[in-house]
This record gives sequence, C-alpha cells and structure tokens, in this order.
Amino acid sequence: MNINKKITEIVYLILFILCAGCSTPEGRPDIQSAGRSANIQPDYSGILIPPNIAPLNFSVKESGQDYFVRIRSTQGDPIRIQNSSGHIQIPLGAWKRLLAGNRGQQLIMDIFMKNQSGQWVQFDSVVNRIAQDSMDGYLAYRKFGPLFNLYKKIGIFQRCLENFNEKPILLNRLTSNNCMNCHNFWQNGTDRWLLHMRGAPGTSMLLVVDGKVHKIDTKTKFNGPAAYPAWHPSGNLIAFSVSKLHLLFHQTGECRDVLDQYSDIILYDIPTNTITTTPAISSPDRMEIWPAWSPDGKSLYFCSAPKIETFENLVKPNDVAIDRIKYDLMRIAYDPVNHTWGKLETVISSTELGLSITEPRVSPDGRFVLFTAAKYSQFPIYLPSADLYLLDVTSGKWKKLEVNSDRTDSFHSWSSNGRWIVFSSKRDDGLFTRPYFSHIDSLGKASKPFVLPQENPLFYKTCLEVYNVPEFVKEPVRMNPQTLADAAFSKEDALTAKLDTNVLSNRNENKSKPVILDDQLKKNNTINRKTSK
Amino acid sequence: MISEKMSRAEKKNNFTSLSVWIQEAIFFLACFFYLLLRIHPVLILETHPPVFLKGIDFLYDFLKIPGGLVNWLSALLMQFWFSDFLSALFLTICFWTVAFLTRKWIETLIENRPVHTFHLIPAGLLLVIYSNYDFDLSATLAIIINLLFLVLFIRWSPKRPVIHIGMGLVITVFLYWITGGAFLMFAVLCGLENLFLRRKIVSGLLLLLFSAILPFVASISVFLITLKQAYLHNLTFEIPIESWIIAYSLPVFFLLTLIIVSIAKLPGIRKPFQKFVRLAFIWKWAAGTLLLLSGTFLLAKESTNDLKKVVLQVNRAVREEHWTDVLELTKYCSNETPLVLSQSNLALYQTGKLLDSMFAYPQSKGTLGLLMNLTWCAAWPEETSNITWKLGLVNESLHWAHEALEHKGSTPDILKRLGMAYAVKGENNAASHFFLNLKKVPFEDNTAENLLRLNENPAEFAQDSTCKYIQSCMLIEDLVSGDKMSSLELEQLVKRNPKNKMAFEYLIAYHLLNANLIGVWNHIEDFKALNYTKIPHHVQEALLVMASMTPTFDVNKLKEWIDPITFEHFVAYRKILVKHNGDRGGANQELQAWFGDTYWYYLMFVKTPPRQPEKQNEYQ
Repeated sequence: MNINKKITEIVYLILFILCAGCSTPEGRPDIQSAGRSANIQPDYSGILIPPNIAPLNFSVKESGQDYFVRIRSTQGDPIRIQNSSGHIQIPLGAWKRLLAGNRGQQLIMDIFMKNQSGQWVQFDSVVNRIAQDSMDGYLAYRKFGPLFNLYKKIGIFQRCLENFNEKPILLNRLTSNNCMNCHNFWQNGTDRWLLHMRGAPGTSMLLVVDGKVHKIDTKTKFNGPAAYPAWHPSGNLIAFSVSKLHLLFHQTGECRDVLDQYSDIILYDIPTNTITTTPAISSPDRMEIWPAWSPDGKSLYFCSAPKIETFENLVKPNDVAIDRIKYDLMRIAYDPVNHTWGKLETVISSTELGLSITEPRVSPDGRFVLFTAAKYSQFPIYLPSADLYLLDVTSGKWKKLEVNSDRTDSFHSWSSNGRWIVFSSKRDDGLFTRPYFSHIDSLGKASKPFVLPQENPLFYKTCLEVYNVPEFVKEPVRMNPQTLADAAFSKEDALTAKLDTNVLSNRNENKSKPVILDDQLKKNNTINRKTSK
Repeated sequence: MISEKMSRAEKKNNFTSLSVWIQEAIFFLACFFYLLLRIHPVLILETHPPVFLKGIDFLYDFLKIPGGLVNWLSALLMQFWFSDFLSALFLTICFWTVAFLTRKWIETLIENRPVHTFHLIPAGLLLVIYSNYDFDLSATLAIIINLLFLVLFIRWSPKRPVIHIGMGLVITVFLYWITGGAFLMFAVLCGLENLFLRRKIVSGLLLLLFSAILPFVASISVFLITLKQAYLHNLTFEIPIESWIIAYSLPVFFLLTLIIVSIAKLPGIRKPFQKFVRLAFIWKWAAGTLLLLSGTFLLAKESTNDLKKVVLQVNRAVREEHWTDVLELTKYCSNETPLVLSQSNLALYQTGKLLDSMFAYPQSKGTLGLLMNLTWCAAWPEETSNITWKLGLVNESLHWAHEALEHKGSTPDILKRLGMAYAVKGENNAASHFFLNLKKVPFEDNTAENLLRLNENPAEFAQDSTCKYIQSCMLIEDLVSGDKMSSLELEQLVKRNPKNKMAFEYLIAYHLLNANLIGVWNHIEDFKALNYTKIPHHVQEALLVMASMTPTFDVNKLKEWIDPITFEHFVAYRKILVKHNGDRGGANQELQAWFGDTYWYYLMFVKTPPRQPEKQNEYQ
C-alpha cells in the first residue's frame, strides 16, 4: 500500500517537474516587458498577409534559452509554439484555419523569450493584417546560381504558395545543361505558356498550347531568337523582343552589366506560325524591348531608346556612354481584329523621369502599369538603382512605389485578380534576388513587402541560388518535365516560324525613315504625366 | 593413409591460399607506391573537388537521382584525402576490396577452387583508369557495393526459388537507387549466372529483362534524369575519357569471366581446360604475377597524360603556396599554356624574382602568360580569381570566383574567396552567405566561425592585415573590362595604390612582354618610390635595348640605373650577333646557350606572333 502511494507520489513529482519545465509563459505574473519588438527574420511584421499563403515561418534573433510564440486573431484558437531554438515553424493546418476564419482581421504574434537569467520577457506584439484578397496559388521562377558567364545547373520551378511544395517544371540536366529562360503564362493560367531554350537541344521556344508542347525555332531572316514575351489577351498572339546582348564587367560596384547592341519587337501568330512586325516597333534607328499588352489587347506598351551608335564615342573613341542609354515607355494602338497598327505615343519619356524605363507590366484591370526604372540601360537586374514605379493609366500620374529598397527591385508580375504583385528584390544582401510580395489596393497603394516563406526560416541565409523571373500562376503546370525535355530534343515536331513577307520590304523602305518621334509629335501624343509625391 | 592425404591436401590448400595473399600483397604494395610516387592521387582533388556539405538538405539532393548516394559517399570520403599518402592508401584499399570481392565471386563460380592473378585484373584496370585524374571515387565505390551484393547473393540459396528471385529483384532496385547505372553489374552478372551456371532460365531471364527495363522506367516515372544518365551513371564509361578502352574493359572483364567459366563447365571443354589447370601452380602464379604487374604498370604509364598532370601539380602547388615547387615544375616544362605560364609568373613574383628572372622561365605566350584572356580565364576561373585577388582587382576576382562556383561547386576555397571579396567590398550580408556555407564543410567550422566573426565586426575587420591591404588596392574608379585584362587595369591599380608592388611588377612585366619599352621607361622613377635597392635585371636589359634603338637617347641617363655587368653582357650579346653577320638562325644556338635567360633573347627569338595549335583543350 505504502509502496503504491510512494510510486504515485514519485509519478506526480515527475509530472510536476516536466510540466514546470515545459510551462508556457502565458498568464505568468512575473513576465517582464522588453519594451521593444523582437528582431525576427525574415521580417514578417507590419505586413498584409494573403489569406492563402503558406505559414510565415520565422526565426527570433534574440539571445535566450527558450522561446514561446502565440499567434492569434479574432476567431479561432491561437497557435502556440515553444522551443529552445527560436525557429518558429507554424503548423500548416492550424495556420490555414486561422487565416481562413479571419480575413480582413489582425493577425497578432506575441513573442516571449526566457533570457539567460531564466526570466521570461515579452516583446511588443507583431501586428499584421490578413487581406481579403487571395493571391494566385502558384509561383513559377527560374532558379540558379548568381549568373556571370558560366552556368551549370538551371531549373524552372513552380512553388505552391499555399504550402512549401516546390516542383521542377524543367531542369537543364534533362536538356544537356543548356540555358532556359523567359517562362511566361497566358493570363496566369497553364493552358498556354512558353519558355525559351538556348544551346544544346537547339535554340528555340517550347510553346504549350492546350496541353500540347511545340518546339518552335523563332529565328527568321529578320530576327534572331525571340526573348522577352508578352501574351496577347486573345491567346493567339505573342509579342517578343529580339535582341543581341553584350555582357560587360565593371571594376567597382556591381560587376555585371548588360547592354543591347540592337533590339526590336516582333509578333508571333500561333495559328499561322508566322512572325511579323511593323517599323514602329522594330525601327532600325531605335532599340525596342519589353513588350506588354493591355488587357483589352488594343495597346502594346514597350520600351524604346535610340540605337546604340547614338551613344558611342561620347566619352572617348570606341567607348559607349552607357549611363546615357535611357529607354522611354511607349505605347502603340493595335486593332486585334484587322491586325493593324495605330498611333505610337510616348507614355513616359526617360528625359522627364531622368531614368531608364523597362519591364512594363499592365495590371489585369488595365488601370495600372507597373514598371522598373533605373539609372540607365534595359537590364535592371544588375543595377542597384532599379526601383518599381506605378503608372495610373487613367490619370496619367506615376509614382515610385512604396515597396522599394536601396538595392535592386525589379522584375515583377501581377496576380490574376490584380491585387498582388511579386517582384525580384536584392534588398537582403545586394546579390541574391528573392521573390517579395506586396498588396496593391484600388488606389495603387502598396503594402509592406515580404519574402516568399520557406519551411526552414533560415533557408535564405545559406541559399546560394537566385529566384529569377517570378510569375504568378493560378494552377500548377501539370506537364511532366520529361515531356518538355523530349519536345526540346524532338526533330519531327519542331517547327520553324515563317516570316511575314511584308516585314523585309517594310524594313528596306524604312531604312531611311527613322521612326523617332519628333518633339511636336511627342507633345501631342504623350499622355498627361505628373509625379505623385 | 586418408589422413595423410588430407593433411597433404590441407598443406596444398594452405600454400595456395598463402601464395594468393603474397601475390596480392606484392601487387597492392606496388599499386600503393605507384599511386604515391607517380600518380599523386591527391591531384584528383584538382579535377574533381569533392563538394560536401554537412546536413540533410545536401544529402537530400543526392537522393533524387539514382546513384546519388554513392556520389555523396564519394564526396564525403574524399574529404579525408589530406595528402598523397592518405589518398594513395585509400585508393589501394578500394582496389584491394575490388580484388577480394572479385576473387570471392570467381571462387563461388568455380566451386571454391582457389583463384590467383585473374581476380587482380579489375584492380589493375582501375589503377590505369585513375592514372588520368578523370574519376572521383564514385565508380569504384559503385563497383565495390555491387560486387559485395553479388557475392552475397549468389552464395545465398533459399529453399524456395521464388524467394531468391524476389530478393534478387528487390536488391536490383535498391542497388539502382544507391549506385545508379552501375547496378547493371549486379543484375546482369546474377542474371547470366542463373541462366548459364544454375540453368535457371526463368529467374535468369527475369533478372536480365528487369535490369534492362528498370532504368528506362525510373527515368520516365521516378527520377528527373535523361535516359543516358539512367543507364550509365557511375559506370566507368559514363564520361568519355582518353583511355576509353580501359573504361569499357572493366565491365567486359566480368562478363568474359562468367562466359569463360560457363564454357569451361561444358562437358566437351572440361578436359582440355583441366589440362591447363594442371600446370604447376607455382609457374602459373609467377608468370601471372609478372604479367599482371608489367601489364598494369605499362598500361598505367601509357595512359597517363603528363601535360595534364603538370597543370594539376602546378595548380596544387599554387593553392598550397609552395612557390619554389611551382618554379621547379614550370622551368623546363613542355606544357607552355597560358595557365602554366601565368602560374609560373605568379610564383616568380611571390619569390621576388619576376623582374629579375622571368625570362629564364618559359614566356612563349607573351602577355597572355601574365594575364590570361577570356577563353583561358573561363577554363580556369578559380586560378584567375586567385591572381586577380592578389593584384587587388576585387571585382574581377569576384567575377571569376562566381564562375568557379558554377564550374566546381561550393569548395572551401571558393566559398572563402567569395566571402572575403564581398566582405572587402563592404557587402557583409552577401559575404555571410558564403561563410555560413563554409561552416557546413567538414573541418572548416573554425575557419568559418572566425570569418563570420570578422565579417560581423567592422573594427576587427579593419585591423585584419589582408583585408586592409586588399581594400587599399581595390579600384575606386570604375573601369569596364573587355575580353582581356590589359595594362589598363594594372595602370589603374598602380594609380590607386602606388605601393601595390604586385600590380607594379605585373605592369612592368606586361610592358616587357609586349616590348613596350617606353612604358617601362615611364615608370623607372617608381622603382625608387617602391624602395628597390637596384633596378631589376630584366628592366636594365630593356633599358639597354631602348637606348640602342633610340639614337637620340642620352646613354648617360642610364648609368645610375644599370650595373656594369649588364653592360658587359649586352656588348657580348651584340658581338655574337655581329659574328654571325645578322644570321639570326645561326646566332640563335649560341645566344640561347649564353643569353637564353635574357630579355634580349626573348625580344629577338621568343616574342613571335601567337599561333594557335589546331586542336587545343584546357590542358594543352
């Protein structure tokens, strides 16, 4: 009897010790206030959270021996996490329930830490808000080491934004370690999409139309291989830029730089497998690049600068004044029924902005044009001065977006509902681009950006790869990478694009007639522009 | 009587067994010393730097491809190749394991009769393969694992044949996952053994068919790999190498062995075969040993690419900063590639001999042997990064270190270089990425910790002599580089920090190699500023040439710069030329004998327009 009693007492004692050891600081009267916010990495504080995003795992970068985090909102049970590492990995199910039940509400993270002297300390709560608007469920991006000249491992991946699953769309180990780029989806869907291949299997475009993949050689007598794409809303036409790049290396600052030796814009008509263009978008006297269609398909935005020779020998013989190469934002009307071109206008001139404009992307409702502006050139990813700007098409006002950092902020994509953007930012270290998300409200106001969450909160600290060309996608790409790889090597199914017979004759006719707008034309056609403050 | 017979047989067996062990001891001792003294297997680390990081994430990537686990194991084991001795010992043990398992396999096939000589052939072939630095450990480890399972499997006879077949299929899948295409060794040999020796047609055919289909199915349904990778990964003939016949010979050996054993067991063949077997054991043993040793080492010697070996030796010596070894290797080296010459010039600078003795060393590539062009830099990015770092061209060094990262992967040296370059540029967050990765490399924890601490403490960083020096040298005025670094970068470096002695000596050497004597003359006062006690030998020679070619030049100007002995040599040089009445060909021999190490000889006979050989690779 006594023995049993003693055993019971010992069991109770052990349980008491265990409970005391694991006790949470909630409700303890002796908690001290830190009087400041905790340093958490990644920085997920003061942000607007998409209701369908994966758990925002983070690490508490404060020196302590135990950590406790409580995540709560108006409805539902709070999520409680306690550990000694400070790496907060939030359970997926509980996170989803909390977000789904509290759209539009605050999401509060209470962070506690037991300091080195065993005292629990509470930091100021991290207050975020759960957005009403969801974002697209997937993100497609190219992932590889910071590219200089050589490359070995390149892959285009898709990441489910609602959890941490990442799957390859195509890996270059399946295609003889070649280069692949410019993945682009028609209206954020996967019915029609494309990517470009360079090197081993043959420089070409892999075009997926309604579940069937086609290999298309886009080189013609007029143009080299197609590059930056823009899908026409009809899904039957794609605008591309074609250019010749020249890689440069600086001895100070960012090493890398890229200039175009020439560039034009072409159109590829899918049903007829034909490439066409018009002198207004492929002038021999201008370099046109970065096409983007308006959602109604009646305007094509693009960027344009005088030809490279204009900038040669300005500094010294055989040299190029690279910092004077600046691109204007242009727009040309297009009739999608009759395939005819209308008026060409300068939307924002680089002279007025004082910067070079690139990468215009029109929001799905056509209201905004999000673009990158940097000190010079058409390749902002290597320029720390690159920032995102937003043009309100209806008012003609443009502004520097609130999301920018002092490092490169560039390549961006709109979610299909037009309420979220994803962009490439080097804000963390100046070297590795990471996808950042921000909410854009109906007035064009952007929320504080946050980085793509990862299961391991310290993931980005040691990741030596860059996330390149992030594109929102509504659904996963279901095509097997092997199918794409087979198509890349396929000879039977390969098509060579035909060239519209009028293109070469137009070019010859226009050789002596530059399409550069004169000042008068600029004045007449440029829409009203003001800098918002 | 019976017991006498038994003890005689026992003695015979003991003798046979002992002789096999003696033969193996002789062979592998010879292998070890051949590896240690001739091959220097540690040089394999130059061609196959074993990239290995601690942690599950790194392992996880290897599990996604068949044979990845063996690649991971190979990278792990090669971390311990600290020296020639250890690497030679390690390879010898691997070769012995292959031989031992091959012996066990053959013994099983021939009903446990003793085997000698024959089983050593695969080990010999492996030695030949490793003579060319084309392979890491993966292929050998894959062979060992497959042989181990082969020996165990064919010795195992469960009562129910279906269990044997079932287990064979399971092992085949397992081996495919861990060893890749090398699993064919297990599957094909098991299948054929079942078919020809055990006469189990169904199980034999099933195994063969399964092994033929498995990689195909795996490549289209499980793993993201090409068909070629699916079938060939970790086989010795996966990568095209010069001694490709040897690479194919290894699997062929095992196939042939099985076929020979099968044929020898046929009733009609058995008698004549047994006659051969009855030859005196000791003779067969001796002849076999001799033949094997001579064959192996002759083949190994023939397949060694000495040009490649020198390049690897030079690179290793530079990595370890054994500058005198570099100069010993390059002085009479027949491999005058821009890489070897640039490493030689770096060693000359490091030993303080560049401007005094550079023309005693090969300089046939002119300025390309000092600063390589884009093609050569791209072939040897890590080496380029090293030279440019020492010069103070931080961005250039960063650029090539990134190329090296793509080329070779996250090796400790590349991670350190990238981290340091970003830290010196003040990009501390970028630097920490590389130092944190360095922390995951075995044996580099302490170095990484120190570098992370340095990176996070600006005050401590400012006190570090290396960082301070590089920061004082790095350019602050931008310059856009073209295809080839030139005197422009060097001029900028000297302008930025006139105390940057390496940049200064490289600039003078560049002008010398380019026969830009005015360029040399323009910097003559700088020697004083850099505290040279006297003008370097080759510069004196260049000044004499300049004076002799410029009639208006005041020779008295040179007196303070040039030693009388150099004057005397110049006079003697000219006398030989006069003696041959301007016949350059005739004078060449004599001038080379007496003045082959002078700038005059370089100008007259070595500096010719560069001519590209028809076929070149990065080692030629």
